[in-house]
Amino acid sequence: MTTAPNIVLRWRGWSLLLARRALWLNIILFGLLVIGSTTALMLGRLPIGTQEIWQVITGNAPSRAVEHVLIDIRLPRLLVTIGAGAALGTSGAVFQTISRNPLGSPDVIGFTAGAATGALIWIIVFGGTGANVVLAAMAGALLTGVGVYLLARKDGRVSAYRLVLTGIGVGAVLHAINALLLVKGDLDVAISANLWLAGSVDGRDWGHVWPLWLGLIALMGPMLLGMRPLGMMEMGDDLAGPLGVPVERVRRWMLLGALILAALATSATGPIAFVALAAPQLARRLGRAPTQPLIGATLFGACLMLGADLLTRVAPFDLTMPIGQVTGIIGGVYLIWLLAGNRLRNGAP
Amino acid sequence: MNAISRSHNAPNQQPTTNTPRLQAQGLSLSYAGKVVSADISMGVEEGKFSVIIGPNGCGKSTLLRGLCNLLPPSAGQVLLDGHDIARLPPRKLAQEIGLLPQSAQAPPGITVVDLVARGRYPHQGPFRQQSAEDERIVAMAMDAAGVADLAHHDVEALSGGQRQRVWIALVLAQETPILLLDEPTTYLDIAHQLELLSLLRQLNRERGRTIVAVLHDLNQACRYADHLVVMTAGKIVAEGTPKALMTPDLLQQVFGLDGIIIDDPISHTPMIVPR
Repeated sequence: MTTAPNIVLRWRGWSLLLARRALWLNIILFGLLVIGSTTALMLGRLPIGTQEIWQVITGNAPSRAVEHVLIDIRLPRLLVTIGAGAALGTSGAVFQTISRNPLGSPDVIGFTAGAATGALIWIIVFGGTGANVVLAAMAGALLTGVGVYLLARKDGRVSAYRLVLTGIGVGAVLHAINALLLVKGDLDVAISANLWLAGSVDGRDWGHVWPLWLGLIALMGPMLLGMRPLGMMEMGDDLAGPLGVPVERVRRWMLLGALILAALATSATGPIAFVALAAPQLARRLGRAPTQPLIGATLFGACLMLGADLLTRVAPFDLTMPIGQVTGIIGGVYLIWLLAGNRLRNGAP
Repeated sequence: MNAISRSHNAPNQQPTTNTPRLQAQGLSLSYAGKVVSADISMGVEEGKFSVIIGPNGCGKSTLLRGLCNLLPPSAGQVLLDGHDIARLPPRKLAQEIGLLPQSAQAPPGITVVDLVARGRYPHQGPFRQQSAEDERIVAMAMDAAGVADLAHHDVEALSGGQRQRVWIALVLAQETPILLLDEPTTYLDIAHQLELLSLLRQLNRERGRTIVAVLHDLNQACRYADHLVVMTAGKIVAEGTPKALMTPDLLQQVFGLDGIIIDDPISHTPMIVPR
């Protein structure tokens, strides 16, 4: 036998179980995130070097312009990118664990569509703009989530299978409504709505950062605690229940938390495809983890988003692609690989 | 823990011991709005190996699910030491009663030892994830279930029989005084069935665990059970030792089976021979 797959840390009555491979993966991802973040801060029309970044951090900004670009433009954009990726990765991990299906992510089962419907109704019907779009998207996602949960409920229980199917059905209806809203709306308004629909982190300011990050900071702790009982439920409710997991309660609260995270991310950036789907799968497969690693999915989500953002900025031919399309293309390729590799074995409901 | 060894007592010579810890009172259980069993009152024989038998769909599994609050009652209650189990904290209950359900799924890619370790969940906490004692108990449970040498194998790669023994190891690692098993011999060939039933009897005799199992094979039930619980149409129709209970009449009434009962030449328990 080679090195043990787990590391157990013990101190007095306390003990922590860490998967060695997942731990290394997280360290690498964190490193990538730091490197990527620094690169993201340096890239742009005004070239800024690492030295200048350090000067701004320590409070000796070389010039007003550098400080302004860094603090007011590039940092919020970076934080929205990372935050949205982290929120989507976390949310996807929880949804996939609950639905026991790699396709059971918030974007597949209708929540992103719900957020879009909220935003579109606000933009097109009420002519709303700015920060209120965020709230409308939030409301749309939450309403969709509660609706899907209630529709999927039967005898006080929500089965994984019903959740995914109901979600896909509701999502299809919402997509149709979204298309209808775009057609019906005034052309100018429809164009601005379409921009939002493409998903972008351009021009995001601190007003976008705060709700997202406060939500992330508040929810990560409870989500981490809830992941242990949720992982038990992968063995089926019949086994998890008698092992002391309050099955329905855990499912309900974790769903709500994941829903809020997905809604926060979508309201800050518009719909971003595939991050919530791919990040948990990548973390699980590369970490060879028997249960869904939550921190791995969070970090992977952040890395994927940041990578996609960097790609849009260094893309050749001066293409200014919205990040939502880039993740869509990457994600589509990934999905084909996933299906072609016959790796949906744990997905068959 | 009750560590009285009863290994030298024949089943029906056992003293009719202490009052049952686990009792159902007027228990009604429904499934998808349909009442499966109504108004059941029973006590689980303390320190004994009880077996529930009955035709398909008579509510055996449902009763087991009710006894550990996996299926909350639509009327009545289940009491553990006089307390309603529906009001006990889930973790507390899981330290007392274990259940091996009919269907369980191993998470993809999990090793035997990691899966068995999950049986320790009710004894653990968010910051008490794996104590040295947990590891010792998991090793013991794998040993008892005969899967110790598979510890680092992938559960998905095991045969059906091996997998079933891994699940048994998991509920053993839970270390509950009361153990409920729903058709634990399914998926096993005849040799492994007997091996498993012997293991359960051993746990009962040597470690004093109270065991309730649902079994389909009547001869096996008669051979291993101290106490038989016979169900039809959601009701308990008879209870007692296999010897006292097994009659051609009962066979006819409960299973609609025409047969005779003879003495098993090896175990001297009732043996059913269909006509």
